[in-house]
Amino acid sequence: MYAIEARGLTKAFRGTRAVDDLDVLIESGTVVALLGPNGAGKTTTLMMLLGMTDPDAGSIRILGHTLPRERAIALAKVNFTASYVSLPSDVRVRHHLWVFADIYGVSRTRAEEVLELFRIGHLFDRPTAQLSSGQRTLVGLAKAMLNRPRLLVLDEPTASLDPEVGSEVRRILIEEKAREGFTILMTSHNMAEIERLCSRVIFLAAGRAVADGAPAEIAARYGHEDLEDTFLSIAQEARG
Amino acid sequence: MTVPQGSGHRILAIVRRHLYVTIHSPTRMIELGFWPIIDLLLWGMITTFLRRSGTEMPIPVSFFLGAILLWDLVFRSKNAVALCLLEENHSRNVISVLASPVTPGEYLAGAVVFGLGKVAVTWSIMAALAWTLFAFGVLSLGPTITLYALVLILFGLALSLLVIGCVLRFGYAADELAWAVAGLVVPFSAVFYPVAVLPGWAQTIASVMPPAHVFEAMRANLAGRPSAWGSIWVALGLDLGYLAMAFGFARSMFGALLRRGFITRYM
Repeated sequence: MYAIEARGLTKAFRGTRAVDDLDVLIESGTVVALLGPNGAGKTTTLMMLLGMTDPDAGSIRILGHTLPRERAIALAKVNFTASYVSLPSDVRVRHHLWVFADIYGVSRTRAEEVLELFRIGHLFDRPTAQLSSGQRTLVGLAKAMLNRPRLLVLDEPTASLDPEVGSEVRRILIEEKAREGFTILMTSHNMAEIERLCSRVIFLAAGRAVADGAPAEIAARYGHEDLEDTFLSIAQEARG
Repeated sequence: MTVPQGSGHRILAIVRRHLYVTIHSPTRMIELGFWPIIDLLLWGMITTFLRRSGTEMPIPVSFFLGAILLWDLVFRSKNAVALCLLEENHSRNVISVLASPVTPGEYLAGAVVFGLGKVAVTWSIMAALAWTLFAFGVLSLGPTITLYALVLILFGLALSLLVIGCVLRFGYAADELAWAVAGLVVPFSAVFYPVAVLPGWAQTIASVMPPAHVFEAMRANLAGRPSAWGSIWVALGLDLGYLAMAFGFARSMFGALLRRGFITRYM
């Protein structure tokens, strides 16, 4: 069964195709990365999959629910965080998490559990304005785990974290994924992170999928040993 | 249109979200009471001055206090709801809300419930002060005060939907509109003066402004003349029309946000 079943996704802005006839078929329980140079269409694709941007063409089913008709039902089982998402000011961390616990209809005690999961239980009563950007990112990740999502969408989730905390977050995500069996779709510019977390990567360039497969397999196809060099090759190829 | 299951708890979550921000922010608490109190004191003092100077006024000076109290209903209900969206905008929380199962309708319902609660608190403070400091009781307007309040609040909500639509379409650039829009309608609303003093073209605009009907009726009330019920029903009808148009506008702007990918403005 597919957690994400999007076919023929197309989106143009002012005549430029940001996403061009893209199929995104992601099986339940897998960890998949959308990769590509800036402007490749990754974030536009994520926004369409989350119902925040309407595709010009194509169809989307998330966890078996058709968008946009069953958007609210689908999003109750999904969660999302990104490096560019911030926290409301003038509240404490607990208030922010309680609001989302209420939105997702889960117990407020879950707020403490998810903070503990990311080893930031001490931030529970801290005003959000006093958090560092790394702490904000961790609270965002904690929020994303509140509803025990069946699909977790992460847009550059560890961009503002130091290598040690980033590594800890990856470990936590792997453990949680093994325990809960959810699907992860993510983007990142950290190729080492992708190699560690993902069983499959989809490379985008100019809104199209130009490579799709296991990280090692794609790297080998381009004659490289790792994704870092593969990324550079694909980006150069895309620039023509 | 089917209502998604569990709408109630999501609407309440939005109410709580804005309540937490308000009660934990001294500046927002000040906004809740400071400006309304300043307005009231200012107009109360002017009223007292006119009363003591023995000026031959063709109308009772209590008109000013009634006017400022009632106009505040428009201004506060417009602000309270529109500022909820601006708050999400400023705290870069729009994407988190849109990526959740909260629907635009639920968000709006939560913002209206929160906004009206805020209006009730502010207005109670103002009415109590008007009574305590200037011996002006809003209830002296009679039972029609309920209808006046309804007309003014509905008009304020229509203005808030207009602002929300503009913010969805133009992003941060439209923030200023949240404050300016009330200024655009106040000259035609005949808050402090009768419609008759306006030039002809402005009187035509005033005739389609629900607040103008209310303030004319209020002045008649305070002068001891019978309530102009017909005028109030016209105002209510206009309100419903404006609300429907403003809702359609906000909805179409949300559609444009989804269609044209304006969500990137909130990243």
